[in-house]
Amino acid sequence: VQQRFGIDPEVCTGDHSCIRLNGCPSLTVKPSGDPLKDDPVVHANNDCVGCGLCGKVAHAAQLCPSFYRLDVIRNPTVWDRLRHRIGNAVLGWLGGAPIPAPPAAPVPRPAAPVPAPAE
Amino acid sequence: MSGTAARQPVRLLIAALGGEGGGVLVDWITRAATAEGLHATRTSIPGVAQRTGGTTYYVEVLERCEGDPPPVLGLNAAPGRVDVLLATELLEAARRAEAGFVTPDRTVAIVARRRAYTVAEKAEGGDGRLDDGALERARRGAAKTARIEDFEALAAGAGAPLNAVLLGALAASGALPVSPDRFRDAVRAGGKATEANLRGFEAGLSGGIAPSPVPEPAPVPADEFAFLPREAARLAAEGVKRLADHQDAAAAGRYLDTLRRFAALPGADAALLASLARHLALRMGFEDVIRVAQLKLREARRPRLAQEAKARPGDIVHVVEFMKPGPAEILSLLPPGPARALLGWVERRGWMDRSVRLNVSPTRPLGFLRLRLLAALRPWRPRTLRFHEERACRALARPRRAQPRPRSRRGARGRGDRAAGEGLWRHRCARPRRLGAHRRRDRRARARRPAAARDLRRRGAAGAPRRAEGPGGGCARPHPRRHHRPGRRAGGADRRRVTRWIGDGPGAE
Repeated sequence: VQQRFGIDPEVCTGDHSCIRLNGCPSLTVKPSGDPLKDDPVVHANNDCVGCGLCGKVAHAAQLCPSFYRLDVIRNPTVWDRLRHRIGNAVLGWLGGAPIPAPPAAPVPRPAAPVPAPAE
Repeated sequence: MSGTAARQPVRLLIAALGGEGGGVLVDWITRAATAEGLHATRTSIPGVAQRTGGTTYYVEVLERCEGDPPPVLGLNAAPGRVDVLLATELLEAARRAEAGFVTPDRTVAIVARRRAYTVAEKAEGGDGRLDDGALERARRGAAKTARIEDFEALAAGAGAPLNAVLLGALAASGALPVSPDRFRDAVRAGGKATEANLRGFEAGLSGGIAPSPVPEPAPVPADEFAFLPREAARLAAEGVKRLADHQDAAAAGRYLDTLRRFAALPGADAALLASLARHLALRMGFEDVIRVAQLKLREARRPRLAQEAKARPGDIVHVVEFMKPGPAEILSLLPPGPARALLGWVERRGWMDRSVRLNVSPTRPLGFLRLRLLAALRPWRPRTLRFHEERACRALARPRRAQPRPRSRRGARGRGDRAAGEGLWRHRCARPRRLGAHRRRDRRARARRPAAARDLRRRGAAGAPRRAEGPGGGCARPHPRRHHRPGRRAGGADRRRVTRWIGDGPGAE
């Protein structure tokens, strides 16, 4: 299971108390994209490693419901897949939908730039 | 030896953030310079990754002549003696310029137009970001020539790292007597991600500018908003959309009615109406548990999550939401009568800080069901305590005169009890009868204050206006945006008073 955190731009009010409270370097701000909210919203960039500290703060300090955690199960076992399929069936019956799977054949990306370490 | 004295090295300063590849960039430059047959020296002050570490690199390159003794080149950049400044970020460039390394007589500045926000900028409650335009203008004014471009977009377009693009831009500027081929050789000699780096180098060299996105013309608002000025009409259209989504068409209708009443007042100008349209929509579309559940179940959210998860085919993705409603949030879903009684009871027991831990996963059946039930409470909302409180707040803003306080929403942000402004509003508005209470209490507090202090204050008020006390209205650092922040005008003293009102609570007299 690989985890990372994210923030819903619709729910974020732009008060940035999460940044003040946990100071995670992967939390940054971006324009809200909502003409009614003129303050920038919080955004977790690619540096998020899913350490969960912000989530812990979210529990301890009643922080914010705009946070969410993505659990990506890599190389699921047969049992995982079976459970997922049954769960999705029930979900569909209830009117929900799972997170859409990526396209089956991923487009070949250009060679990823190797992060250059500082000297 | 007399020739050596006349020769001056080309001095090059690189400002980057830790982890952006400044070291590699310096490596390429010195390698290319020595391959070109020049004397070169480099020093570096590394820092840790990201915004926490500004890193600088300094390179001196000197032309080689026949029979030269090994030259002594400088190890540190000296203010006023830098020929080229390469910076990966606007604020880093500004820092170097502030330290005097960018001068109009010689410095060629090559700066990527991008920002990595500082903690102070991010932590600001509202919009604390520095003005990019001002930073850029300052650089252009300080340098002999400046090339400030969106090199990051260029790099992303080429699928290359930023430092390779900057190397290309340096080669294109001709500031160093090194041919582009030498740079290419140096990149190849680096041996890592050569293809991508060369692509970036060519992109920086040719200076192909990524087409900047043309801002879409604002949609012309429909006729039903014709009673409003243009900007306000645009916001009102957004507000109607949001309220219809938040509650129903009737709520949107009430919103428009209120706007209409204000627009009919004499003295309601465009700025006031635009501000009102924005903040009224935010206040009426308040965010309670129901709304959050509704937003979390959004269809449009799923593709975004899928993109962020970066899942490979066959992977299973689940989302976990963190909700932790406290008594104030849960009980405000009840009708006002029982809710106030229960809230009073909870407050007496001292349970206001408790909360229900709710980790919901909308991609699993049970979690989905829970969120779905919460979102389905929408028709119930007009009966909740929260709805009544919001309506009571708005009732205060009935158009008696054309100077209401439509900026109030800025104070009321965050959720539950954590929002200080919320408490203030509840105190002031939910019990309109007691509106004068804080004023009375204030008067009493003033009477208790020693007479000398009172006199001092009166004299101060009679003399210069208090806002002229210092630049920045009392903040330690001059902050370019802070002066323009409307909701902040109150200054330190007034805000402290606000907190005290809340701290006292209605029953403290």
